[in-house]
Amino acid sequence: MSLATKIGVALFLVLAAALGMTTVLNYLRFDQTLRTLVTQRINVVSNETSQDLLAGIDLGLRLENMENLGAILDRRLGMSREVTHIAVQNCQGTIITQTAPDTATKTAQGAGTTEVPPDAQDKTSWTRFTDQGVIAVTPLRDSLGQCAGMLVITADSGEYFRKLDGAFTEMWKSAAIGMLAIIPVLGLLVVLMRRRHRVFSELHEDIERALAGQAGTSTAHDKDVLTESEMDLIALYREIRDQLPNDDPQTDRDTSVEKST
Amino acid sequence: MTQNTQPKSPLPGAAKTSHRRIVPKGTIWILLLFSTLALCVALIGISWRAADLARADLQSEIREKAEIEARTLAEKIEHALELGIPLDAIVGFEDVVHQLQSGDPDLSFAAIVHGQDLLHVGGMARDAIKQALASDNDAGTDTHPSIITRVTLGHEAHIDHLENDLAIVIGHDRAALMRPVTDNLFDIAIIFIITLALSFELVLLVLTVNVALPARVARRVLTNVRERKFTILHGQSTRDEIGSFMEHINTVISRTAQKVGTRPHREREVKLIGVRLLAFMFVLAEELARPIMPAFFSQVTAPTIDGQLGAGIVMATHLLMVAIAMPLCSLFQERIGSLRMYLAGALLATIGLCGTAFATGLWDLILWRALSGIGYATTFVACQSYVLDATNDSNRTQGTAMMVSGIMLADICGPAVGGIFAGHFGDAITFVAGAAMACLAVALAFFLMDNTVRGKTSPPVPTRKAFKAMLGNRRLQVLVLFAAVPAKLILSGFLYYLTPLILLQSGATTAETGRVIMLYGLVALLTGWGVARWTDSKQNEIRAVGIGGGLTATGLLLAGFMPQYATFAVAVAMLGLAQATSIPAQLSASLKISADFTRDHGSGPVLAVLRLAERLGGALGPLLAAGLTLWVGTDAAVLCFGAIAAVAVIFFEIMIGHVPADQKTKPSVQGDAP
Repeated sequence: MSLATKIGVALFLVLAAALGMTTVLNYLRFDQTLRTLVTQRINVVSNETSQDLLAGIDLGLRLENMENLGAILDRRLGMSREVTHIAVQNCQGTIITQTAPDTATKTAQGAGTTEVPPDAQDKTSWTRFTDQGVIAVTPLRDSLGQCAGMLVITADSGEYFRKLDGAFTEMWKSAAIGMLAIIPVLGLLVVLMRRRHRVFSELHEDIERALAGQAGTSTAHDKDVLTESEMDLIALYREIRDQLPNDDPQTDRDTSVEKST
Repeated sequence: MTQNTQPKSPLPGAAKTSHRRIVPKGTIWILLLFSTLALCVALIGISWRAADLARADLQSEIREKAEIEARTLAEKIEHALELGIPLDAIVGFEDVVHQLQSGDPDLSFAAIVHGQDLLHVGGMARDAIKQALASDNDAGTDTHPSIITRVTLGHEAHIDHLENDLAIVIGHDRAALMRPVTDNLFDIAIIFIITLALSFELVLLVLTVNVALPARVARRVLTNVRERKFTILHGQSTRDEIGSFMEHINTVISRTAQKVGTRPHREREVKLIGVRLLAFMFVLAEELARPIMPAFFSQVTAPTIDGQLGAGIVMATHLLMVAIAMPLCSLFQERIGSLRMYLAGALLATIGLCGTAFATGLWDLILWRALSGIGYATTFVACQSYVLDATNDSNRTQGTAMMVSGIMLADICGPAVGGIFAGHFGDAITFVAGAAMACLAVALAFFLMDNTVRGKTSPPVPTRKAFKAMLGNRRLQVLVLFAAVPAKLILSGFLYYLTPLILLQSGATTAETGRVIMLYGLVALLTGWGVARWTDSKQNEIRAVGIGGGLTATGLLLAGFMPQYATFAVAVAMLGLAQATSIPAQLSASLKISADFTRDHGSGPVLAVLRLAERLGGALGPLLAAGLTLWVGTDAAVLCFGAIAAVAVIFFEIMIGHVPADQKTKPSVQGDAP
């Protein structure tokens, strides 16, 4: 592989990797922040509802015996348009009461309560993002710290995924446009490497002439190389050119060689 | 083909120091400048778009949260009105606001307003709320320090009593409420910097290996021809223009050498630049999981003992293993060789990190972390010994700084990338990613590390007498006691203990604290190589160590006298510059001071002593910081650390130049070789 191809491929890969990494990390960070904000919002509803429920529990009422349980949940349902279903379960995961904007949703969500893991009561509050919705579970504990039930809030995750998909598309579109920046870089590389190639082609020609004992070629393009080291290398070559042992017996006789120590 | 390496290689760009040009010779700078500009433009474009999306999509989410809180409050008031409670007879509004604040600390105040009148208030004094509402009307909505959300009360009951402009108003602290978006924007900037730095590393590697090294070897070959020696051939494998040109020269040399009966060997140069990438990779493997370690270890060990204690034990085990393994590996580095040592270390790190990901309890977690610690120490020593073998007195500090820069870059990138990665993929996968990185380092080491950098002979094992003589070297003692130990003590005590503690106590968020700590690595990364180049050009490592100590003391005293966020940022940045100046110079200085010993017995034992002392300092730092915090408080503890740094540098400067003259030029111990 020629040096120009090597550098070209390397620059392309570096740019692609840099843009790809930036895009992926920005996307993951966006997702993280979006999740945090959606969770925070559902937590507001969850906190308010559980405080009402805990007020009853602290009075010694069992969740099953609270008469206004449905009314509490109905009121909380109106707090946020994205909350689609609120259910209160006992510690075994059986629904005590639930509420949803319409019966169909209620039935569908009611069937989905088995998604709550059996050990949920042992954990602190948690939130899970699925295609079916955002499920937030808050264990309810009495004043002795014993499980009194669980509050399960389900919110519509459509908006979350829509924003995420939008961000994904937009970010990758920007990355693809950014990749176009490689075109002028590669163009410049081609120009510079051609000029460098010309220098070394001339050197090739020159060394062959030197070995044949002929006079040197032009040095006009010697500064078209890439680095200072290459310039030094060419200058050194020009310096020793006429001392190189060559095929001409007359000049070759003059070349003295020191043995290595 | 026989390959002879040239151990004492100049570093990239270190060849010419006599005459500095603003623009380097050759055309490569045009390509580099243009590529950097293109990359910057592309990255800025992507980052700008990401920031735009964050502002548009995430800010609306935040406002929705504020609206929900306002509606919650409104719903409570409406419920009270439904029950027939007159609006002016409502009591306990302040308690309800406090309850809301317990769920959302960003909430500043809430009020029931009627026109311009405040009927009930909570969270803040009535006048303060009135002022906030008035200034909200005057100022633009995006500049006001509070975000005001208004919800009109809709219940019919109040219409009988009042006009229909009754509303609930809540105010959030703008900076606090917008923190997720602000943090997101800061992270976008950090990702930009990380990507730029990584791209620079890769381009530097490609250009050095493909352009600089072949040209440098070719120059050496032609110099040899000019001196009419004809003893070396161009051996740097390259198939480009230089390669084919040098093949011509090689033919001439071989023919001439044959005539005079000599046998030229192929010359090639050590890929010292590769060690930077290898150092970066082994540290990155460990640092990726750094942000999640305490929580993950706590979770895994919780079934056996208290989670916090378990996490502490596991992390202490890792540090202990690093502290034990580093000096031990230093003693054997010359026998084992850098490549083999690096491979062994990276393999151990891979196993350790993989095991950590799937650990089930305290005991196996301790085992895996111990393995990781040994792997980390082994790879570190391998890289450092490789640099020492491939450099000489004239460029050793630069070589060390090059490796340290790779480590600093990983220190910056690892936690930032790992935090985002773990947030999405989970803790275990993050450890597995670290293991994959270590595994990749194993594969890359074969290409980037030359096995025969030093040669095949290792120095004889030092006798007890020689070891004692080395330890009795007063200048080395002064360097270790007043430079190496304080440097690490201050790094761990101030940067990793006191800075987070004080900043978090003063109200800074974890992200803000993290950004201040990140300044340390960033400054060290940006200044490291330049400072090392200066140190090498002056050939005065002792002076560089003194300057580093002075900078540390100045920064710490500044932070101690003015313990504010900005001065801490300055102090941390100064510490980064100080460590970049001092740490590589300490290594070079220790080898120069112990030249009599290292000439006969190699650098391993000296480095072992230095590393042991450094680790001791590192372990003492947090203990001393904790003790001082309990005794005199956090601010005074910073002052004490500043005083320790000042005293250490003063003693260092006084004593390093006033040791017995015979110790400066002490002849090597006779007859101590086994």
